[in-house]
Amino acid sequence: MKTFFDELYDNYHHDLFQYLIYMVKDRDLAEDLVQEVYIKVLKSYQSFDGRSTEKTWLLSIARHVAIDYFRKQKRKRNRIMDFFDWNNKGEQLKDQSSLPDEIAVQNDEMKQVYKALDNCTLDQRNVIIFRFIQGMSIQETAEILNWSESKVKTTQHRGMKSLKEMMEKPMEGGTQREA
Amino acid sequence: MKRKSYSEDELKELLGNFPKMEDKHSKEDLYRSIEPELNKRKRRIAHWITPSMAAAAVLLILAIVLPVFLSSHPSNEYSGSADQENSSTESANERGQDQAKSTEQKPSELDDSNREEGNNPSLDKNETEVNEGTESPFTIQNHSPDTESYVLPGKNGEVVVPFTVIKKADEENQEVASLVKPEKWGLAEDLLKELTFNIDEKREQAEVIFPDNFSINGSAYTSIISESIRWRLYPYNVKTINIQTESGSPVVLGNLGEVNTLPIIEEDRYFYQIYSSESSERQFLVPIKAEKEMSLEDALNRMKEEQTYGNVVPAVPGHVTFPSVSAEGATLVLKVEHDSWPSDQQLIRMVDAILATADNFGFKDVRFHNIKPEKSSSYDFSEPIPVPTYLNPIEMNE
Repeated sequence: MKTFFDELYDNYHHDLFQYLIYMVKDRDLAEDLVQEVYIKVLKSYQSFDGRSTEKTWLLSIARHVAIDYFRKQKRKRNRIMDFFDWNNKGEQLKDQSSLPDEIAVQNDEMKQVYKALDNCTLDQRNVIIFRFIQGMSIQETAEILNWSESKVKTTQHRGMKSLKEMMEKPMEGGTQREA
Repeated sequence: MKRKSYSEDELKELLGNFPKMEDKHSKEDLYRSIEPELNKRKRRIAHWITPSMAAAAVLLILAIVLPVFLSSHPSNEYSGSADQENSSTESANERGQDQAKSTEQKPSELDDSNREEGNNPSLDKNETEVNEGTESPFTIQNHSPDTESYVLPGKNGEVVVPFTVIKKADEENQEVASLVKPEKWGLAEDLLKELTFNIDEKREQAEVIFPDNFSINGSAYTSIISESIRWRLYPYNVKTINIQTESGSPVVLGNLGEVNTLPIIEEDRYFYQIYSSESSERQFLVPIKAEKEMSLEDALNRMKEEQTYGNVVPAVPGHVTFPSVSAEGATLVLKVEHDSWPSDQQLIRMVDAILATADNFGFKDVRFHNIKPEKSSSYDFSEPIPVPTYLNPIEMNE
């Protein structure tokens, strides 16, 4: 099993980690989810049937792990909303995480795009990360998501539109960049 | 005031320039973190108690109902289709054998002298004895035109028993269904005799035709029928199992509803135990379905456990442990620790069950370390032992 782990790690770990950290935007959490992905993969590697590549198989499991995480978060938020007056206390529960070091040193435009990704749905974010951050083809993305290629294209189009709208939205508080 | 307007290409370029995020932990750290989870046994009592109790209840009902159903099921109920199905099954089997002959040569073949009658008490005329013979009673490592695979359910319908009929020279053209003796072997009536099997190994697919009026009710009966079909086709080079009625409709498989295909055996994990009915002295290796993600180490340990199914006993005795389980290419390497063997038979049936289980996990042969004596009546443990091609050989009477 260690040999199989070594092989997966050497070939795909960078892609896996990159995907998860851009999905969840939290280094510690991405590290936890990476472990979860490897545990699932290594426990089920005997059922890998070779119909997809190892890379798309690994990333499709990573995608499910990420979705599970967001679902759990949503349930947690819903439970909290049941007990709190959200209007008054909600602000305290907002994500206060700062930008990761790698993004913090980038120019303003990059930081804006990074933040604008939050405006996309999970599906749109998946497609944008696989297609443009990871540089995968439409076909590879479709395999990972288990979608048709046309669904990938449609979701990609909507995601980019959403990103564009967010980037072009007037800034609050009067600060502005270029006209 | 509006911000800058971005084209899609500009956005793509920005996304493409996102920094590479590196994991700061090393590969070794990561493996150390996940290793305890990988070695953890999967069982969580709270999770399986409820389904187990439900399954036990179903089995109990089945144990009462199925024998009655099987014995009262008239054998000629669907006789209208029997001729057609038999000839089709037979030709399919012949095709299967031709294919098997050319593709299923195993590294070590049985010594011909061992196959002669009289040398092997377990395959003699009575064909019921599982004695300390000169070859394994449970497995066969070569293939010849006079062998044919078949499946019968266990007495209470909880398990299916795949076996291999070794025909006499004058029986080679007879269909195997007419040769099987379920009652004598402690098994239940053939559930597949009304079905037609068309096997096309070239296209790696099989078509199973159900009579139009064939009805399958209840989850237990559904399971036993589908498992029987899957095991019936296991020896063949088949990757797709299509099922339909004579009129071309999907088959209504009990609680599964309308079904067009069945998964092949290779899509699931099985380990082997021993089927031993009180009404017969013959014993069989019997596949027990397990979780898909079960490891081979888990499988070996499960082979020591009592099952809830009737007539199924552990294949690995309690005094045996496996301190080391590893793979060298397609060879499974097992270190075995054990006390003394009460009989050669106990050792042979354990080895056979392990070989069959290793086959399910994709191994070609098994090297046993530390088994004493180094040679049993059937095996030489100083060499790797090939996994069997066929299970449970039964030689027909004169």
